[in-house]
Amino acid sequence: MPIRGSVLSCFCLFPFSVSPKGKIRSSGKNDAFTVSNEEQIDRISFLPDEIICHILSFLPTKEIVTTSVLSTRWKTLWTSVLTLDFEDNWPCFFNTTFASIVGSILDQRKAKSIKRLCLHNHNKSFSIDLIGTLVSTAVSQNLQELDLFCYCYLEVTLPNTLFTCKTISILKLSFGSTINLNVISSIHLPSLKILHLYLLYLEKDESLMRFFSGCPILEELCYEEVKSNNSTPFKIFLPSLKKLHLKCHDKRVQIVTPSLEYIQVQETKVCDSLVCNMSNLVKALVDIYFDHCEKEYVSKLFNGIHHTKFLELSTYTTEVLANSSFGFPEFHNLVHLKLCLSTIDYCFLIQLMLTKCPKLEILDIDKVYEESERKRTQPRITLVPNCLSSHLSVFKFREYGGSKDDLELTKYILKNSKVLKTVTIEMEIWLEAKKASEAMSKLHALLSASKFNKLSNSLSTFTLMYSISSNI
Amino acid sequence: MGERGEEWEAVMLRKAEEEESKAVKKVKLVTSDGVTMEVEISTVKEMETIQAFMNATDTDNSIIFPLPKVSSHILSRIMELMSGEYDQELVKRLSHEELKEICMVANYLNMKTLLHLTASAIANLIQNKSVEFVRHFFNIINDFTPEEEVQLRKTHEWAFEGVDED
Repeated sequence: MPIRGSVLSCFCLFPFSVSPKGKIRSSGKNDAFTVSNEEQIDRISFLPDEIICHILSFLPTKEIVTTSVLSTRWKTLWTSVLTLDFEDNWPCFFNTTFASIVGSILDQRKAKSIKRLCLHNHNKSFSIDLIGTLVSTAVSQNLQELDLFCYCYLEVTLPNTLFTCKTISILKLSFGSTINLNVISSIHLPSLKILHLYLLYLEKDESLMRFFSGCPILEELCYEEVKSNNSTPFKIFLPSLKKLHLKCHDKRVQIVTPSLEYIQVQETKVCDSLVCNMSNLVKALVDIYFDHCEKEYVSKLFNGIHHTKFLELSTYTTEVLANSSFGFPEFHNLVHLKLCLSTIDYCFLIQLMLTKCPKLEILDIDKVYEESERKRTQPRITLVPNCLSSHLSVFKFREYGGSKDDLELTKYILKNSKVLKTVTIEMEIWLEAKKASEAMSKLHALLSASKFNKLSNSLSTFTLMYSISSNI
Repeated sequence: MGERGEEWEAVMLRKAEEEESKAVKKVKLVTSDGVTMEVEISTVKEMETIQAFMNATDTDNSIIFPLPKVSSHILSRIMELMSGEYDQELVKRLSHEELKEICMVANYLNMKTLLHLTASAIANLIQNKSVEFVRHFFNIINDFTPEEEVQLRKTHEWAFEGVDED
């Protein structure tokens, strides 16, 4: 029985593992943790004040104050914590009560500085004056991080001193209302590295441009749903920026970021917003949607990010790419490609993309859900992409459902990859046990067939994972 | 299988040779329970307390550094966290005692990333927990009289609003 013999030897050669319960993690190092070490550990009678204050600094102020009843030692410890965090977990106070509580907290604090000030308020009526008072107090006490998330329904003016604060390195602003930067006389934030702007309406675009020009070392920008009532296109030039998260429907904005290393474009109606060629790009996550008249913008975007080493495309993006005859540029540095798929008949798209990624080493497929199978309309590509014969070493497939397309893609990869080392296939979570075992036996057969084709010379790990879901 | 075994041996041999040829300067750390652990100099870089000492001494010989406050068990846990690039999953597997002790050591050795990670993990554990839970967690003995405690709760009444005592 030569066939059976070969199947058995394939079981022996590869550390072949099917886990009935959850995922298999790499063995080795981590195992030490699971072996509980019963060595005598000196019980710490107490942690020094300094560490306790550090631990408490991660908690909301309301909770920090409750530690005062733990013991006499803890009675005033909270006053030395360097952060003020007013999360949205406050009981419903009247404005005046909240203001007096904040006032009393500030009076009792022994800490000389406010490293982080966080104020989150979704629906309570906060007085804008109180925000202003808190921010200016914090700025005068070496503020490093400010996180304001308030829905005020009124125009907000932040204190002038915030915009010339020398110590602030993280600034997160979200108001859901208009913010007036025009009255700020001077903007200079020499230490600001991280800036998040979310849900803001600006009086004028110029104020935003002025804001950015006052941040000489800005490294990270999150720009989401920022709007203004102007209509002229404007450019934001950020030469120091390394990380950008863009969620923007505004076609007038152009962001020029020549040093960018990480980009996430999310739910963005494709626009002209990214204009330069980002030659230092390492990681790009793209979640956009577009119609046929916007193809030009799409090519501009992909041309801008074609130097990246890692590329992730969302389900929707993959789908529209598959349906449009858009010319994908060559991604000559791309090592890791992650595709989220819900679309059927994606084999063509993947083959097409593989021909554009000559150095691809890792292909990561993430199926989102399976639609009913349709007839194929796309042609097949007969030429084997270069990356398969010389580079691709890892193939991962999550939420494998066992459809014809799933099997065909896996077959295509196994058959054509010459240097493939690791294959990991995770079965779809909600897949019935019977279907899963069918799909897995088909994969086993595929593997033993590819063994005949001498693929096993390079392949060292083949893992199938199947978690038994609770519905069975 | 035999073929595979030989191949593996060859790989290990090559690895050993490579390591020897690199001849990295090692640091010996002596723990409170008398265990000597040899670590690479790159590992020590994050331990700013030791790094400062090394910068001051500047010797070519291997350095022995006593750590009277650190047990070998905790030191090996720290090494695991460092080699795992401070994976949150690894932190979750630590016992409460280990977590507290590692936090102390991170403070003592001035390891910023580790201190941040363990302190925030502890904060996560005590967040939204009852006063009794937090007392037990930190081994705190309540030395207030019942009257004093009631009085304190009254002073900060607003902070206790909406808190479930369990």
